[in-house]
Amino acid sequence: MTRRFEGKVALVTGASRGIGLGIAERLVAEGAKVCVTARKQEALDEAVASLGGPEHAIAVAGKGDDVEHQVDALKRTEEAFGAVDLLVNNAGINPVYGPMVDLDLDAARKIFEVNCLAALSWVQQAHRAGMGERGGSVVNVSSVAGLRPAPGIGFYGASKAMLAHITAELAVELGPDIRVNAVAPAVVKTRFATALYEGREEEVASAYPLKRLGVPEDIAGVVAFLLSDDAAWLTGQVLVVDGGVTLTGGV
Amino acid sequence: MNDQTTRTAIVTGAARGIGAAVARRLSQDGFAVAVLDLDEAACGPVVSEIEAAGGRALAVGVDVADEQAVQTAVTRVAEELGAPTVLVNNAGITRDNLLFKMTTDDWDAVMNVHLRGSFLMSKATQKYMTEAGWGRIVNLSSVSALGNRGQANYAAAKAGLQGFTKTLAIELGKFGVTANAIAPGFIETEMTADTARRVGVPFEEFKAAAAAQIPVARVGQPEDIAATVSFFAREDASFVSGQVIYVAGGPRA
Repeated sequence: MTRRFEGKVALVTGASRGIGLGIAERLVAEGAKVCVTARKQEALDEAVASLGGPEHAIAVAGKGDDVEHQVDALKRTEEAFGAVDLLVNNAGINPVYGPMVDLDLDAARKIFEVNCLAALSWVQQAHRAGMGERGGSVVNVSSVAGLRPAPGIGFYGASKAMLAHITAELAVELGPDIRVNAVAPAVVKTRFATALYEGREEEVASAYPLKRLGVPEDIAGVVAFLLSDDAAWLTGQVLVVDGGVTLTGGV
Repeated sequence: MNDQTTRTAIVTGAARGIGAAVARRLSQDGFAVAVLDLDEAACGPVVSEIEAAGGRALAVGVDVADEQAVQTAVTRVAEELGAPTVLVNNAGITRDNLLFKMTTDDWDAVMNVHLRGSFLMSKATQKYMTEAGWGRIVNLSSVSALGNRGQANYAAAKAGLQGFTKTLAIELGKFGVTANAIAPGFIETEMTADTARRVGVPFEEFKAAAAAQIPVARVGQPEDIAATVSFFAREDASFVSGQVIYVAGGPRA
């Protein structure tokens, strides 16, 4: 394993399990000190233990869309390890399933708050907490649902499309010292996506040119590349990580 | 397979510029590298450099648009370096002109090197990848694929490579082979220096004007593209296929 993040400090939101934890594991394995955030302290404590304990990681529990929590997490990270160099906006919610025409608008507002505004706010706060002066790299976790219609999770997709566009706007605004990119995963085998594959994984995977579903490590490896100096001239991009499943176009 | 297994990579157009940087980087990553270019002697310096650094490399002269020559070259690589499971279709030329002045020869020459060349190289190499159950094809597209004045031929060829890439991803995915494209923006190479000469602007000025439009505030270096090729060749990118990534110092389509 390369050690591209020696001396770097990272903050990964929604990192008590799934893709977020996979990203945190990868960053720690490459030498970073990491702060993981999520709502529940207990799950975060387990995550910190799996990341190798307080020498490598700290956890700050709170609501991702609460600015006070963001400020607090950034401050505690700086106290423990130094100012945040790398920010991964992974936290996201998808609390409803069904047609958009019947979508409860309060649920829609919540999706927008957490998936879009909170991600933007994390960047704002990290920028104010030192990234603006020191530079850094940000990766937002979007989704292939934001690239094309995904019936049933339509508004979730709309929020992820917005996050992809926020990524491009921030890349233009914050260059050259801060790079901002995104990944757009398809179905990754996590608790978040269980309903999309459980009991029919082979059937779901058959639609993927690579004939399997994603695992958190697939996303983590790509996020690590985008955060690293190998991607020093790469900003404002949304890299699809989907085993080829969105490749269509035939008549 | 892990990243440490010795594998063989082919890089076309590797005597200079982006191709040479890709060859050097893949060697650093542990690949034996076939350095392909039109003129075998021109590949010598890159091969020597790789060997001096402790790597393995082979210079092969080939016109990628020549079907028989491609077959011969790929067979030679397999025999002398090992079965090629990474292919970087980088060879490219420009024959810029406005549409009303562009000759049919200029159109054909650009199509032949980029599209016919990538087709022939991919076709000749894919069997080694499917047999290994692992492979990587990386095609060099360009921001010109989005449209660029004076480059009807080059833009069409580079956009064509994107459709080619996506189709290879669909066809070869089940064999563990990924296909992706990199679309570079302004990279400091002999090719962009030629463009500056053609439009009559000193290269430094030409670069500064380009950098002023780039969020990362500098023009790209061949190593920037080589680093992205390296990423696509690694296990880290094993679930990424059929994608076009713009490495341009800022957002592109």
